[in-house]
Amino acid sequence: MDAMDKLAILAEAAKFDAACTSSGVERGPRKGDVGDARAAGCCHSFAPDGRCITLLKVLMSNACSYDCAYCVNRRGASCPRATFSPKELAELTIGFYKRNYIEGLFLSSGVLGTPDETTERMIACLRTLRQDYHFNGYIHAKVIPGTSPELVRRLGLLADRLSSNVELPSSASLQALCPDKDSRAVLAPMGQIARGRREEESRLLAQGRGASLARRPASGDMGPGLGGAALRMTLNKSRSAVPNSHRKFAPAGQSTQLIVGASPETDRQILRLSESLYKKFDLKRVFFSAYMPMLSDSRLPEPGTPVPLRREHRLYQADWLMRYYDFSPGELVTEDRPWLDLDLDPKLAWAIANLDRFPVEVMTASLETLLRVPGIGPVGARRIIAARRTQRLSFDDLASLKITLKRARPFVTCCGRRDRGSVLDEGYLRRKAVEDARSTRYSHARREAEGQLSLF
Amino acid sequence: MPDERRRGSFPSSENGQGEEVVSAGLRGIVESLVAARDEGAPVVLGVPRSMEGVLGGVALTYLAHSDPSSTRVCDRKELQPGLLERVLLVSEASEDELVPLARRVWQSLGQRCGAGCTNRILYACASDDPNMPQVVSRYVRLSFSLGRTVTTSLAHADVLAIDTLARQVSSECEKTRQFARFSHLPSGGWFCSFSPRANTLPLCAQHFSRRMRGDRFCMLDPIHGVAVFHEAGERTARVARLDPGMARQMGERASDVDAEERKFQEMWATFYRSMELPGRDAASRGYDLRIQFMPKRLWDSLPELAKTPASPYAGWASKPQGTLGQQRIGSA
Repeated sequence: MDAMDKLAILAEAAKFDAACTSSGVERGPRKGDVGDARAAGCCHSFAPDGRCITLLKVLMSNACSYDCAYCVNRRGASCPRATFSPKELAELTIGFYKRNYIEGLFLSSGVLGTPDETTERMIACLRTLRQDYHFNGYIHAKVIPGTSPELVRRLGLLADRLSSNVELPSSASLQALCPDKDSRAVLAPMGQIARGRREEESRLLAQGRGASLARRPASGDMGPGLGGAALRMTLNKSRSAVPNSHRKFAPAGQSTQLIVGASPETDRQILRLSESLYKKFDLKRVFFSAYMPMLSDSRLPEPGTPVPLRREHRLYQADWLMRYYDFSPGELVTEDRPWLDLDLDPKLAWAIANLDRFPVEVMTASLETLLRVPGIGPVGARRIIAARRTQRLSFDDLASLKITLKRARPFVTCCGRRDRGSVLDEGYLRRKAVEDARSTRYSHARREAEGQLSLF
Repeated sequence: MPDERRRGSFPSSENGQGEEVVSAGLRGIVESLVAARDEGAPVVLGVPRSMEGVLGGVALTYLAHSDPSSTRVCDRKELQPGLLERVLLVSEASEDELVPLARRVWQSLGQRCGAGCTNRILYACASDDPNMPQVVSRYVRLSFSLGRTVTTSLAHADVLAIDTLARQVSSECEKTRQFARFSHLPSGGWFCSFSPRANTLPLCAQHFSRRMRGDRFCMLDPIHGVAVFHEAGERTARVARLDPGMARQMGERASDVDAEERKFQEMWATFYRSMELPGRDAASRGYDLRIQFMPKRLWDSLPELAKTPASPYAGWASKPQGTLGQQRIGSA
């Protein structure tokens, strides 16, 4: 089997993993090495379905001794199998990188025998790439549940980002669908990675290698994407005093992925799990992957069931609100209403349910308050704060600042004035938002796929 | 706005010594600007379409104490005078003489207004928008007038105008970093031809120099007649302007690839096709998400979208599978 066929098999086998980011670490070029790493990342292509392609995302091998019900590579699946040699993979990565096709490598693998044996092979691949081919670009490596701590540590010294997939939102579902995995084996490497990063941070700080936060870019000038990536967009989130470029162990941190729609958990359960993972393991991202029913199995939705794209989209929006807008899961979903509204984005749904907090005066509102207004994002909120230092803002000015007034108009006042024609009424706002949302091409297509949805 | 004009003038011109910083080739233009100002006549000043050209042109209007409300700065190749406007052109022979003036304006802006201001100008000057020289000129005057607060006066019309240009160029720079594709030449080294909608190569040259420090490469922008040359091991790259003949000649090298290069392009296309997930395509969404991020105008230069032979294993994971018992069709 030649490299082309192996690539066709092992890329197909890896494509269900949602993570494809190359962000989180800044590493300059080194003499004799190939490439560098940019903290902002870079998407080099977009698949026909619109997802970005940043990394050469492949499995080292799709031969697997585990039998996860939803996985196309599972032990019992009838599929072509292949395994890359370290040299093949390294040459492919370097070749693609130099042509500016990718930012680096995303390496995962089926379980070849045991987790330790598999990780040893992955380490051999990455060592060849880093040491023999002097690759200085980005590497994301997947941690196989059950891998011994020493191997996780060695993997983390070769890769920029590590990820251990939670796979399913509850241990009951994991047990039902992945008989060879258990939640402790999944969470153990996450805990080890978080501890490893904290210990390295303490060590670097003790050596005086932390960066002064005061010296790092402030959010004064809201230029047009010029330096925007350097701005701190998160609220109430602790920020490491050690730049990632000083770290050696998993400098870009860790992430995880869970499958949505293959098991019965509610959005509330998923968001609460995400929050706890962010807090406990200092994750950079939780990725949601809408389940694609490809396999016939009585424990799973039938093949042909529409992919729950809207639900995945709402979960990403809610995750964004938690990470960048300081929302908590309890504000977005409750015990009584455990599902996100598929017709309204979660921020608008929250605003409509909390009309007593509006309207907000743009000339005096704090950053945190502005961020709660539908149609105002982190960049827009900071632009408002910068602009109001020098002038009184009108609705026209807000439009000039690229605020989405279609959303924000009913929820704000400018110098004490409401917009004429805007009504702050729950029924009206909800009806209008739903009408707008339902008239989009996306909604039409999804309704056709999913059947008519009940609105309330 | 006499106050604004005085504050923005060169110190030397405030002392009546403005002519000393102007070369002989440009002195005539300053004199004509002064004459137009004294007669209250509107003027359009044609300058080369470059940052040096525009900033140098602005410097000339400062030295002449021109009235900003009756003085326009335009690209000399696209200049269309208005009714009663006097036309003044910076000739090609005098182009280099603008550079010291531009440098002086640039340094003053940096000191007075900060990097937020100069970054906007840097990006806006790379724009293909026909109004770019006038937009930049107005912003420069506003910046000298407001000082550092210009970076927070985000709703001011002149700031909005330059922000729009700078944002467009910034976005085009990102597309250059994303979608420029290199080919390995049979003669050694790497070559890339990319046609952006702004003069982005000079702004992105450093990015590629970092990324490919150990390699010799050349990037060509046939639209703007600009090329970037990098030698293996160098920290920086050289940017050169090309005449159309030279640009065409270099562009012909893009198709000069060998079998090894074609193999890599086919493997990339194979990988790209493998990444598509079922149930998430344009028909399922109601719109084509890919086009939003990857404009069709760039597709011709992307090897992943070229028609190449498919592997017999292509798409195996997107087809519904049985459970057990079927013969495995591949092996390690």
